[in-house]
Amino acid sequence: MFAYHEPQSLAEVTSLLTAYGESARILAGGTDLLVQMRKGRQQPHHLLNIKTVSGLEQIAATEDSVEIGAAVTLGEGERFLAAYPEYGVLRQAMHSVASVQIRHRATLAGNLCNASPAADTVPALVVLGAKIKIHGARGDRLVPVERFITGPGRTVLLTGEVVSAVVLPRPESGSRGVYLRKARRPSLDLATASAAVFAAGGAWRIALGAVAPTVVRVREAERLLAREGLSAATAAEAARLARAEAKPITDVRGTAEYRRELVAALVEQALLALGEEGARP
Amino acid sequence: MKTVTLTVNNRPHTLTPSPERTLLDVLREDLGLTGAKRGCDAGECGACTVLLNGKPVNSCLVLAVELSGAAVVTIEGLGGPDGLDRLQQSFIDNFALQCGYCTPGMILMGKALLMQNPHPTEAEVKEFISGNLCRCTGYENIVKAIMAVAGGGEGNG
Ligand SMILES: Cc1cc2nc3c(=O)[nH]c(=O)nc-3n(C[C@H](O)[C@H](O)[C@H](O)COP(=O)(O)OP(=O)(O)OC[C@H]3O[C@@H](n4cnc5c(N)ncnc54)[C@H](O)[C@@H]3O)c2cc1C
Ligand code: FES
Ligand code: FES
Repeated sequence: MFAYHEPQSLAEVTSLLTAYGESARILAGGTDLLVQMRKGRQQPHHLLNIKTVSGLEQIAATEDSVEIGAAVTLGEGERFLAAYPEYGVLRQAMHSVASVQIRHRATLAGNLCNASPAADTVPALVVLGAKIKIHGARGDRLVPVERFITGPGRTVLLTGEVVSAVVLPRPESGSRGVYLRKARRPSLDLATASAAVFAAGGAWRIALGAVAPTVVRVREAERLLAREGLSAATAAEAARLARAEAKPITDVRGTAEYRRELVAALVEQALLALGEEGARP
Repeated sequence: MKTVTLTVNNRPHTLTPSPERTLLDVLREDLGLTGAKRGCDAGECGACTVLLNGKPVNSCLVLAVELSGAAVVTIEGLGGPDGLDRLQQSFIDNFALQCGYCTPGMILMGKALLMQNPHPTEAEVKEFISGNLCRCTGYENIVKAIMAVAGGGEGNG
């Protein structure tokens, strides 16, 4: 049994979180939390519905950034980002989560805060250089997504802190990205491995999902592409570097060896797809 | 305990559910609407699909206490005095069900898709219903039943 709360402001969320400590959990879409509670993996005494906090359901686009509120669902995010091809990598990642029904409930912030190594949106947020806006007793702070998740199920959030938004910087015009993932079936299964690639001007970013406790960047491949541009040869070399960077485990979704091969193939395919799209290498 | 006022199939209801109960629990156990089925209770099968404010969701993953002001449509809300909704009839005409366990969810997914996209391609239908499992039909006739209505004008539900 738990008590259910409908806080109206971030300040109220923070004071409830501070008062109840470890026995409180934030409820966003509930697609992770309610399943974990049913399996007995979480037994909170207080659920704080973040969707009743006013303003968090908004997406704010300015000249410098697009700020996605913590109550925005993946479905709403997908629809909004359709008008922003430079964020295509995130839109593809959002679309690959679960099913239509889940995407109507699940939030982007929840996908991040749940901190699964296989969370689809995280590699995309990493290549976009997203920042996480956190509200706490001492005000707001911004943390780069790469530093936000510290391990499976673990984040930098301190007691009393809540994510209020995900902030996407505006990349220079002509930037393009691709997200590819492979799972045992296309819907309703977590990725066995995934790869996000992003080209902004002459710079490249590559991030891998589900092949380590947290998302990994393939910096050596990023430097190679910046130096030599995109070609069949550099895509193949980037794939080789990604295979070396991956530190996967063996589980029901695949063996470590399979995951390494898979993630290399995904990186190569994503780069070649980006090349065909006509992005500036 | 919190009191929640919502509509289900256009009828107003006032409930005081204990916090752990889901929309699916309330529909089946309090309101006698057993069309939405409990398959997995974990978001994986789609048998519990209902429309919440016009959008399909897994009712097993929605807490009833969250539903102040919500409008819910279940399979019982389709059709009317004149008979079945066209999509329901199309499922019959196309032999799109065997045991029927997945059918309420499948039909509501078809409704939701046709509301946002009246002329989907077969690939779009398949992708849209990919969160709904069927143990019996092999899906072919379900896709056919939805496509038959998609090709032929407006539904009446
Ligand atoms: C059948 C099924 C299939 C799935 N498939 C996929 C998949 O393919 N890919 C994928 O990535 N995920 C998948 N998921 C996982 C899940 O749907 C996503 O992680 C979802 O985005 C979580 O968002 P939510 O709003 O539902 O989070 P919730 O369940 O509400 O919350 C998740 C966690 O984050 C915390 N939290 C939420 N919001 C905040 C906040 N603003 N500040 C601080 N903490 C917060 C909660 O307390 C909780 O611990 C699947 C889930 C199911 C049930
Ligand atoms: S019972 Fe809700 S998805 Fe299976
Ligand atoms: S008809 Fe039996 S599960 Fe679909």
